[in-house]
Amino acid sequence: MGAYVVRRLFQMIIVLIGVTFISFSLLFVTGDPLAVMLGDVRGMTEEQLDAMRARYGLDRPLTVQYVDFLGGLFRGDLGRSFYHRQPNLQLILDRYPATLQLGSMAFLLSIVISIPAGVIAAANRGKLADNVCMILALIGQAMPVFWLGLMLMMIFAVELKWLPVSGRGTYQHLILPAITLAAFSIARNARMIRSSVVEVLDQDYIVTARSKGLTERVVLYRHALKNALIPFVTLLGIQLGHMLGGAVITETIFSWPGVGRLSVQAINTRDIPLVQASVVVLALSFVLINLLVDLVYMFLDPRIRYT
Amino acid sequence: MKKKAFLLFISFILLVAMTGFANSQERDPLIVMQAGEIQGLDPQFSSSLHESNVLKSLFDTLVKYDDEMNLVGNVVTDWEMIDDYTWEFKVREGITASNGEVINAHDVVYTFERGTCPDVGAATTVPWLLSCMNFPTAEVVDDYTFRLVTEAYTPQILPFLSAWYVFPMEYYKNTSLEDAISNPVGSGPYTLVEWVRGDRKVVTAREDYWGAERDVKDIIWKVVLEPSARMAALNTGAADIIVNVPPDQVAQIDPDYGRVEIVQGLRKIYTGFVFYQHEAIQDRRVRQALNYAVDMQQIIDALLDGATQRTFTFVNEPFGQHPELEPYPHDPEKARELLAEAGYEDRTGDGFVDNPDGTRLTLRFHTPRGRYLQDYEIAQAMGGQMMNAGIYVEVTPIEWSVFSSRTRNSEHESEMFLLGSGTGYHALGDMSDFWCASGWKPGEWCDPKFEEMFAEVASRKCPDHYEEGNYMLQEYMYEEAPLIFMYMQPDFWGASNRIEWAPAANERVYTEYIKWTD
Repeated sequence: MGAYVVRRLFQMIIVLIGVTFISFSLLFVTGDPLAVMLGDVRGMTEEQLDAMRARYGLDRPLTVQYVDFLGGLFRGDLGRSFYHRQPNLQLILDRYPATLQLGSMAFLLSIVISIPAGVIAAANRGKLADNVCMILALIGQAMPVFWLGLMLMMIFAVELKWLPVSGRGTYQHLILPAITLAAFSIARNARMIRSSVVEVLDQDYIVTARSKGLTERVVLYRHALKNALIPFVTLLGIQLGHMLGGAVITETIFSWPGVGRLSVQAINTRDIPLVQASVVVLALSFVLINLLVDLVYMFLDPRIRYT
Repeated sequence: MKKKAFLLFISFILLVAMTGFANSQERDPLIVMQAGEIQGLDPQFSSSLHESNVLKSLFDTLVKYDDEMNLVGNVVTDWEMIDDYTWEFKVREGITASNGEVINAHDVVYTFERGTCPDVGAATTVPWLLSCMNFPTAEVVDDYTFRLVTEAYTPQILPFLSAWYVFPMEYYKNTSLEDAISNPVGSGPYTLVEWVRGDRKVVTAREDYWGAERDVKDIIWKVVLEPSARMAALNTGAADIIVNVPPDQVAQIDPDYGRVEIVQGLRKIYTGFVFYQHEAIQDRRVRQALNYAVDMQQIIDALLDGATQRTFTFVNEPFGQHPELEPYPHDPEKARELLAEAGYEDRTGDGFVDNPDGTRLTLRFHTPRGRYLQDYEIAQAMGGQMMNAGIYVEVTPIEWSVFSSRTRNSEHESEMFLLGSGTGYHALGDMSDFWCASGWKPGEWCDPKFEEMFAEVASRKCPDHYEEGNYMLQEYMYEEAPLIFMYMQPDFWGASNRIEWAPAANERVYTEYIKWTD
């Protein structure tokens, strides 16, 4: 078990080094980083440009710059945004609570709704409840996020006036963006749980459980669901990573001040240092969550500890 | 055990999701929704209009435009040009910043010194303003008098000072750039209460402001990128002023909540020609033909709700437009004639004009999408009209960051590009977009005669001669047609019924002219 954890940690470090290398290279693949950062160098003399290069350390060899970049990461220094002229870490941390809040709520919704929906559909295989659940799931997966977001806004904010249109503030502000962000996951998870439970229900031990005289409810939730959930946990990890990685479209529609929008804005303003920092932070979140999920997985399924 | 762990996990997630609700009680202020993120609130880091709107509520400028777009004093009350290179200004007495510092000539001079510091200026409007003012050096004459000494004769300095912010020297000298960006201290009508990055800036009116009292005491400046979300906010009473209402959604504004305010802006939308891509473009007759080929009025009526005027010059209306020029008429026949004269006619009988070597003349037309009101739609319509006139055109939208980089570096990979140009504050400032010596030459129309004429007119000192020179340059540009003249961008604002307000033509929100209706 210990070896497994060590191996996973080692893999995580390799992934992070790869990510830092790619994000570091971002600054250079788009040409002269100074021209990219300044955008408009009209009226600046070559001496001024050289002074700026020296100021940002861009006149040093690439390897030195990369090592320096890595060193900064270890010290928690993710550089400074050229556009905002603030430390990148501060900018990201300012937005992270909003992202965490939206991502967590959407994640929660996706679990709370999809599990019962999937189980109900599986238990009623081929019947009306199954068909209704699966049609809804199909619609949920087929709807584009921006369309769903705008529709929810039109119905619940503009027409019914039950909820605020956009922004972040009260718990009411969270409802529409969370539903929008969760919709696809709810649909996908429900479908997956259904097929997983259906598969498990055909297993011998379920027949045994039924033959022992257990109620269908106990068979479903205690015996079938528990085993059907194992592949689902892996999916959840990836899903949580995506949700925390910033839901750009949802954040844009609902003016949710999260990391996703910050990153896209950084791309649009060619604020490469901030893009680098966002990539590193989001990759770190993703990798950590996946590590956590793998550990949970190990806890749920003892077979993994010994492979 | 596992069940407990699961419940614990869910509770944790729920806890995280429910955090941040403590600040749910907000006041009921004026809410302005803009479509751009804010870079910072340092008055010398501004590079966009939406930032300048917020900054104008926190800082005073040296001079300002009144509601009829006349330049009037603000921080300075009087000014005169002492000699060809020196302007002298009197600073208003009794101005204090929100931290209590008294504003005088020393503070103003400091703003010019700080603006030339390379740490401050890069990638903002400050270097551009300084270059337009011919790099002035500021000096204190006495506590309430200062001078600007320019490197060249600069009779048109005042318009640029309407964008020059004043701030207290002591505070900014003793505050790091990082802190100054987040904690602005100005002498403007409002002070910053809260700034939630990416979401809102909350400002409240100062009781000790020297100028006119504001009817609106609290303002929330919000960033809402999605037009539908801004519309929805206006229609639910969640916004009082919104920018860029899509023209095709004007009818969807709920009259119980708001209205649209359309104003013809000062931004010229035009199609630039790229002179290094195809030799056809180098022929004046081809450029004129393309001007004749488009029916701009039809496009304005169909796609911009008929809400603006066509252009025939690159000079904005307040700065002396040529009185006799008129927009190119829509005349596809004339376009074909001019093309034939230039050696481009239909040799294959397919309805499209061909190059002298018999291959089809194909013009690529690149446009941003979403940067300007209906930009891509308008480019497509123009492309269609050119096709009808027998000119084969391929319209392609280009992502804005790529497009703007190509524009800046004269690297357009097309024969035509659609672009907007804001006000240059005076006639030559407007036309300098086509003066290669300025360093800005997206299409590389570097006509030696125009270059020479421009430099000569710029050095004229007598106002009458200046006007004559201004008209001469406009005539030359009209004839040479280094662009397709299009229209002034109309600005569609949404305003709630709670306020009396008429938007200014320069895309700025002047808080002193906003009144509550009740």
